[in-house]
Amino acid sequence: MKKQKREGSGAAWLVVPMAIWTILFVGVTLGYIVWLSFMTRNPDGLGVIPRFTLDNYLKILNPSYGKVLLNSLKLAALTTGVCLLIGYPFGYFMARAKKSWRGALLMLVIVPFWTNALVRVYGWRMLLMGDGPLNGLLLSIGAIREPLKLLNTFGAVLLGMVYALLPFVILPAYSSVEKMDWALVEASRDMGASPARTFFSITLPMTAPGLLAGCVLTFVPSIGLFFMSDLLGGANEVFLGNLINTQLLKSRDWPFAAALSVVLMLLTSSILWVYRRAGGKSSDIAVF
Amino acid sequence: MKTLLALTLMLALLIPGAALAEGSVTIFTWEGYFSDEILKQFTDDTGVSVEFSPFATNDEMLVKLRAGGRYDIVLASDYALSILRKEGLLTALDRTLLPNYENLNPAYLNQVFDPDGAYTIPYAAGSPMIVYDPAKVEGEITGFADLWDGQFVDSLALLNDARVMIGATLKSLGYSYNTTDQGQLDEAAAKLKSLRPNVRVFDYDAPQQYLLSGEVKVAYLFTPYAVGVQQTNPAFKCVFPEEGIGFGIDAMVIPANSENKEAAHKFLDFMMRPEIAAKSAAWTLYLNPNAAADPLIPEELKAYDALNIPEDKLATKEFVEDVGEFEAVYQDIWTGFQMQ
Amino acid sequence: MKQRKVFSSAYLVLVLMLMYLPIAVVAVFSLNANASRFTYNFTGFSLQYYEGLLRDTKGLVAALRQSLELAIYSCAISAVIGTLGAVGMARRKFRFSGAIEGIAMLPAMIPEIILAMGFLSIFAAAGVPFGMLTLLIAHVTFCIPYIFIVVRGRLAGLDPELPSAARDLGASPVRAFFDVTLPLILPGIFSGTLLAFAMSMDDFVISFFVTGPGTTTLPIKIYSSVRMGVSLQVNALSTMMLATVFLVIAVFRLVRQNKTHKGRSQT
Repeated sequence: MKKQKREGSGAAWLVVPMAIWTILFVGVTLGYIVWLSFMTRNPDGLGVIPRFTLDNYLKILNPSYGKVLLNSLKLAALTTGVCLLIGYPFGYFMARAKKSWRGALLMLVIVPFWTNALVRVYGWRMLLMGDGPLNGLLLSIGAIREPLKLLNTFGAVLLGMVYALLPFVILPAYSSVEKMDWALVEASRDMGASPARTFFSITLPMTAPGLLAGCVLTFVPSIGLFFMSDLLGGANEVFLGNLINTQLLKSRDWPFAAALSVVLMLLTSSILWVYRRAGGKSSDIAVF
Repeated sequence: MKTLLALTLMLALLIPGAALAEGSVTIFTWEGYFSDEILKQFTDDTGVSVEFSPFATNDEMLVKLRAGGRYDIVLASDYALSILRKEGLLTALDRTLLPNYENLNPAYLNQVFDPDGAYTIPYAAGSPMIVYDPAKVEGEITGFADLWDGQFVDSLALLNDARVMIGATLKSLGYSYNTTDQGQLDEAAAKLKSLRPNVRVFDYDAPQQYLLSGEVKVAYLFTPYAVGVQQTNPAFKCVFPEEGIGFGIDAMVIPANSENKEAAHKFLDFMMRPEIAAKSAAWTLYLNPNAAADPLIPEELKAYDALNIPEDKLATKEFVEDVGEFEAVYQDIWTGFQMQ
Repeated sequence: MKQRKVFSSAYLVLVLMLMYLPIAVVAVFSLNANASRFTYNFTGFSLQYYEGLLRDTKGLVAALRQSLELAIYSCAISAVIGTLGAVGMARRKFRFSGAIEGIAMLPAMIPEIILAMGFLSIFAAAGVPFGMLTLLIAHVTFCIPYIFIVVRGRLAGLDPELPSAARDLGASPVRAFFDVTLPLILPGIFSGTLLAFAMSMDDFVISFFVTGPGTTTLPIKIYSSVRMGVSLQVNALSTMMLATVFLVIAVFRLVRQNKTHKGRSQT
């Protein structure tokens, strides 16, 4: 009895700094954004008139904005799919590699993050340019007659997105495969199941948490990422992030931008909620 | 001990060029827009030290300045400065501290964004134009309307700027760059729609790369990019649209909340010295607004098409102006155009 | 079996090669002799950009220093706050822990520009001068979620009996924490901090809107130079940063291997 009480009060103190910080800096900021989304835009373009309105949310119902949202969701879904396809096997093989190699592989996957994101995307641009090294190589070996259109395509945008988010699938996949009980796999093989059967009925379900975590960690950020489209896609499509940017900075319609952001927040929160209900745990998103 | 300290301090203050004595200015503009050489020369000549804070776009600059950001010199584009002026965020310049003001070319002064010329000092000017590879294009391009031709499917690079591109479209329809007539805007939106299949890339910052690499046949470029293209490959042709041109001036201002106004004026005056202005023009590759500096600019530079706007075209020039709540309309038209 | 080994190794190598492809391009182009403002195509080899970096002609190194300073302080503070929060919430379910957790995670889930404008507005309204302080507050705020969630995950995987066992053996709560819990979650704190560090170093949008005159981080400098043309000196800097990180890791591993060998030979 006494022990429990002491632990309990100790725990309260531990949470206080985070609670204060969260309420003060996150709560107030987000509260401001939500408040802003219900305000009327000042026609002079300067700030807002404190008059309550639902117009900003109704504006979102406009089909062209709906198209932007759909675009973003489509790209996010595709990115997540490709990341899973490439990243899961990678994480799997990484976990099965020799123990001494695993640390090195982990580092190799994480270290590229230490370069500036813009610089990495520029790297892709320089590579894929019409007169860049890739086209140059293909032309010189006669594989193609004319330079390929690689840049300013949807494919290039997808490439950029997958590239940026791949580690977020690799790491949880690695983590969950590593924690798996291999005795079960061996038992299944001993009982005569083929490797494929073993994989689909044993390995995959047991590493599902990792898969799920990877999905969430990729899907959520990709809805907001938009500079890939500008830099690799020639800005040929408009995504939610572009729209918010334009509304905020160019149209100077802060309330509308705030409303769009609230919608985005609700979207990502609901994805996380679904994740929790599907049995996802914090320990799986904790990819290390 | 104390006297020694005091003496040392006084000596430090007397040292010529000591920042303590002459103050400092904080400049807010695009990274690399002022040449480092010129900034260093300013400090050497006047003793005023320079701090630099960069921004990436005019819109971001506006947000920072309206939120109370404190800078001594801001170099930005005309329409953004006009907004600052209307909101009372600028200092009216003291001409008595700017003897070099008379060096400026009157053609660049008292424009629509600063009608009395009381707040701004022009730094660079330009006009976006059409640049193309004649080897890849049939016939000649003379106007913006030519870009709708079928031969340009998937071969255009447009600037990712709603006002500039919609403005060019409006002008090709015979309307004003800054119209607030909804009917005219709808017409422009419809006209733009039919251009979409021809557009391969929207890029604001480096569209010339696509032209030079051969990915596009035609590009709509800002002045320095047009100069850059011809510098790299003289075969490329630069054309000012026959329907009329857009025009822009980037100018320097002193925000109202600056605490170093005297030093800031020194900076402005320094930048208007003929030899400094000539160096700036050679650095930025924009049009030079300083008449006294003109003879000092190398002839090869002045020879580029982009830096030679014919008089008749100049007469048609229009600036991007603040259109109040219609700004959102322009932006929506552009977003719709991009989304197709 | 051997076939599978070959296949898995080949797959790992292939994907890694693709991951490092743009980085290789960045590194190679840092040696470009092309000094044009308008084109990047390779014209020959030159060390001009490394020379420029050495003299810090573009102020990139100074900006890097600023970024590192900011990242280190932000990570230190958010590591403490986030870890304490995670430990506290793991011990006991508070009524509001779900809400606090949810709100704390939000900065990682909304577009940066909105968060940036939000911060800008409340700082301006509160009259806080823009500069290192506002930068620090903003960075700590978006770093906390990463550390919190990683440590939380790590704690969830721990045997809850261990701290109790320590307490049973007579250790004070503080001692139990430092001697038992902390060492076990240290890998989690470490990796969470690494992640937060990368996020902080790479942040442009939020940093730009809350920074003050004279405080320029590396991403701000790079993004602001796009109009005039991003200098390949940035490539040189990135290459050097990467090389340094790899070097440090390699040295670390060598030292550790040495220690293990020494340990073994002593038995």
